[in-house]
Amino acid sequence: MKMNSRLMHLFKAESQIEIREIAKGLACLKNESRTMADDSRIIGELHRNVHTLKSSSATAGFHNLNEITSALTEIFRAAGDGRCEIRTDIIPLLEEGVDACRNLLEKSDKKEGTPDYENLLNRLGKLLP
Amino acid sequence: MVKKLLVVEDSEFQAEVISGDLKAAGFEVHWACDGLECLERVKEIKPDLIVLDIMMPRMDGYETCRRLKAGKETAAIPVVFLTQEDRVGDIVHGLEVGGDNFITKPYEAHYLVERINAIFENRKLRAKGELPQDIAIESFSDKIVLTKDREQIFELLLNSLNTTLAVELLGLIILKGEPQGFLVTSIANLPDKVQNYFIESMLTALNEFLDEPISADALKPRLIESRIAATEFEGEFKSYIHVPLLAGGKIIGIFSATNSRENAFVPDDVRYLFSVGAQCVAALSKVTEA
Repeated sequence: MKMNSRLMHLFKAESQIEIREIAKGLACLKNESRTMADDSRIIGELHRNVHTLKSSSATAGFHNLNEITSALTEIFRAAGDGRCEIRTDIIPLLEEGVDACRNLLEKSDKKEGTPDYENLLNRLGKLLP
Repeated sequence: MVKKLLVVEDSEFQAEVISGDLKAAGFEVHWACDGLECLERVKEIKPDLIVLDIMMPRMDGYETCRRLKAGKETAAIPVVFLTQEDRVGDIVHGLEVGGDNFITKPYEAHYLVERINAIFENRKLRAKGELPQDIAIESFSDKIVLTKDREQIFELLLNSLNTTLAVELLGLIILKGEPQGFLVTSIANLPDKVQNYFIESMLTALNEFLDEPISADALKPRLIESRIAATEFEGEFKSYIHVPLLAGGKIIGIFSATNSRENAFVPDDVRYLFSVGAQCVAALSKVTEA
């Protein structure tokens, strides 16, 4: 799809908001005084935010961003279904995924190549049952 | 007259892209940012069709569609799910809540416009009584209609099975007393004569199911060796799965898959296809169309 500058601006602005929300959600999962109900709500919101980012990146043609958000979506979907647990020791890896999304979005303005995310994708894939 | 569409999408960026595609095709387009806003705006806008995302805050697309189809004034408005969700369960769920079409993102603009126009065209023909291809099934008190619009959901469902099972051709036959309609989706773009052969093998298997007295054992999923496997098409298909579709304790059709490799399917595949078939029938049983 060919995007005009207004659509590109909207995509980036919206994606930055989603990334901030995902980072906030992950920080909440580190809070030790949270309840099971909190966990379920936070994971549901994380799933939705990551899913929106995945869907928008596919529409905008940002393939690397789409690959990382697809991996994150599967993890939060599995967590929501009770097939995997978001333990505090795996949160740094999920945050690494979010950082990669942020970098990809920033790098899209610059003329430099994008790093290879294969290693990150492999490690994220291993979190799935 | 220009058709009014309501796009329900929580991402403003995606709503803009979809609206742009639809406006370029000559539609009047409105936007609601989630399911709750859709239910409010639908009364004021009175859209001719709703394009609905699934994952949204406050109220998701499934619940929104369920409420639209339960509302007296909104039940007749066609709903097209436009989503990244493409797993078998998602598609069956879309069918269950009464969705008329299911399109996966990223989509081609011309495909979306084509599907929407096809829904309007089918509605027009149906109103004139010129669309006899709808498949009607009566099962106890339920009247289930698999319309031409809803057929597309089955096509997508069959295609999505391709990612789970090693299938080259999938088919669904639904009966009402005698064979009345069928739908076959070609995964491998096989020629018509091969598809016809597959349909024949499905009917053979279906007859085998129907010939037997209905008992718990007879209704279990199983592999059936096709009687006509060793014909001129022997080279095309070597593995088959046929599972019966059941409603109200009766066989109402058959769901089949095939592959050109020998032993392409394992017993788990049979169970999986059986479960998908059962979900389809359960979904259809909940869909009642006047």
